[in-house]
Amino acid sequence: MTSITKAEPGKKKLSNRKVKTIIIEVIMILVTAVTLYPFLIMIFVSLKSTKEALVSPNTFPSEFHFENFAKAWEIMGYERVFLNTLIITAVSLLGIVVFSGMASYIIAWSKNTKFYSFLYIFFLCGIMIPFYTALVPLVKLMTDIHMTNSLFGMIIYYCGRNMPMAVFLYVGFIRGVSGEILEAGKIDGASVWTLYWRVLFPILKPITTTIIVLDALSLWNDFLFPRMMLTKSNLRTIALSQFYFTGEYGNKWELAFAAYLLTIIPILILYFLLQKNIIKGVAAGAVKG
Amino acid sequence: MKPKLKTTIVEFMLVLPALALFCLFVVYPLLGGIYYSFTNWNGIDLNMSFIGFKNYLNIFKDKYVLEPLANTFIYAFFSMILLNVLGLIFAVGLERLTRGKNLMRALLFVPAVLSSLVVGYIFKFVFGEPVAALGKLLGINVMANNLLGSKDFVLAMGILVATWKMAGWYMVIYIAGLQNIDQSLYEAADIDGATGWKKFRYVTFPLIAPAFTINMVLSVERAFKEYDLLFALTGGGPGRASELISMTIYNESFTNKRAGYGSALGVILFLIIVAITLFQMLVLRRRENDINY
Repeated sequence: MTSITKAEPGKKKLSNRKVKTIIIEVIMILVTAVTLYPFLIMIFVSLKSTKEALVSPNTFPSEFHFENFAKAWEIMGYERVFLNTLIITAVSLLGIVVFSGMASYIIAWSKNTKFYSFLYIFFLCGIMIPFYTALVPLVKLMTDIHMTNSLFGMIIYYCGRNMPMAVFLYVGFIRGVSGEILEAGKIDGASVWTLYWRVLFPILKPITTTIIVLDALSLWNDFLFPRMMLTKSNLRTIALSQFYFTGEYGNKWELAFAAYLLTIIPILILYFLLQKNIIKGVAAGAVKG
Repeated sequence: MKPKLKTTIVEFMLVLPALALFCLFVVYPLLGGIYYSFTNWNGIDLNMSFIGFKNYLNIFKDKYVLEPLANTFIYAFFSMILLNVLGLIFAVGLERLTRGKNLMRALLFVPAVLSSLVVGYIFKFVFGEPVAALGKLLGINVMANNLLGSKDFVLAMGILVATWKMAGWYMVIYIAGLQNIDQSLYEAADIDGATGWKKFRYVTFPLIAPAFTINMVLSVERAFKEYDLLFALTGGGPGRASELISMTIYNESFTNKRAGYGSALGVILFLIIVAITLFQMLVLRRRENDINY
């Protein structure tokens, strides 16, 4: 008798929990479906004929028109656009990581604490400045230094703009690294430069990943700055080609969606390959911030 | 003395590139923006004249600015609420799953890696076709005619799309917060007889307070800096019903050739962001401290 009364509530609790888990599972699957639905629509429409895209845009395509992708590729000059964006993003990231890393190393560990803590706060003030506050002077500056319609101009600007956040993340991380490692290196007679690259930089790998992830996403997708700077069609970036394509072919949904898919495929592939690092990077960046 | 001087110089040389780029592309334009905000410059001519605070005074009488400004506050407030509520619910929900946790987390994050521009364009289609078709089916007129064309609904739809795009991002940050919680605390709560809601209220929530603070600040700051999404989705229309202040700044500065006025708007936006961020940090950090006691 006692064993039954003891077992019953336990059993009931277990099945209750199971029901709850199933409900949560169903809800989460629905949420994921809503999240993925627009992608499905995009794929469907991109494969339709012009007529079908207009007449019945919401259905599964009756026949597959893969040539939409070839057409969209050609109209955009996709290889050019892709390469431009890749160059801007990759070189900017390199500049951001190298310059902000070295600066943060000095800011965090220099004996001249007064000057460098002032400099640190100076950098931090830059984080809150919105891009839109400085639109006019920025365009004037870029024009004055002849850096409009120039990939190099884009790169040095992006380096400057992303410096404050990178310095903030690096300094926070470096301050948590034990100074003994550095002292050991100093005794060996290594220069400041060697010390940074040989000893400290490998330790900074997690926060470097975070900085690269956050900045790569924002640079790859940036729209307004390239729109103002790059007016020549051979310098277009991915975001710009999305914009111009919509302007010209916005009423041809099947072509537009094929173009959008082409432009987001590289970042989707990269995302699924590096998914764990990217998600970890986002979370770590926020915890530090 | 000599080696010390050498160290000082070497150190400064290492800081210099970062400092120079920062000063040239962030600090100098900011100062320039403040300077132009006191002028009537049109952005092209060489001559301009100082007009003191006139631009700033005009802002508060200009309904073409006040409407976007109000839109921006509404957009920031509701996207903050939605992103944080949904981000937290998704995070808690995913943590409760026994299988498919990682796959679902990865899928929910996908929209966050897309450009806002493409997201805007996709949803322009979604509201124009599938949603409109559903509206016809249900006999709801506004929905059938396209919700983005309705002055009353367009901003709300913008907020929903922004939430669709970024909820995964905030979820990931909440998940990181949840995973830092010591599981033995839940066991202790079980022993004390705490139920699901109480466990969430008294164990989970206080311990994810840092993630909460970050997400609140981040979501508001992002909303005030938003441009691309609504530019692609609605272009600010119909009328100015979904225009955000960033769009007004761009239009005034370049399209309307009022660079001085646009700069003054930019400075106002900057001050708003600083004020809100400081306020949030102060209030939320204090709450975090209270919880620790």
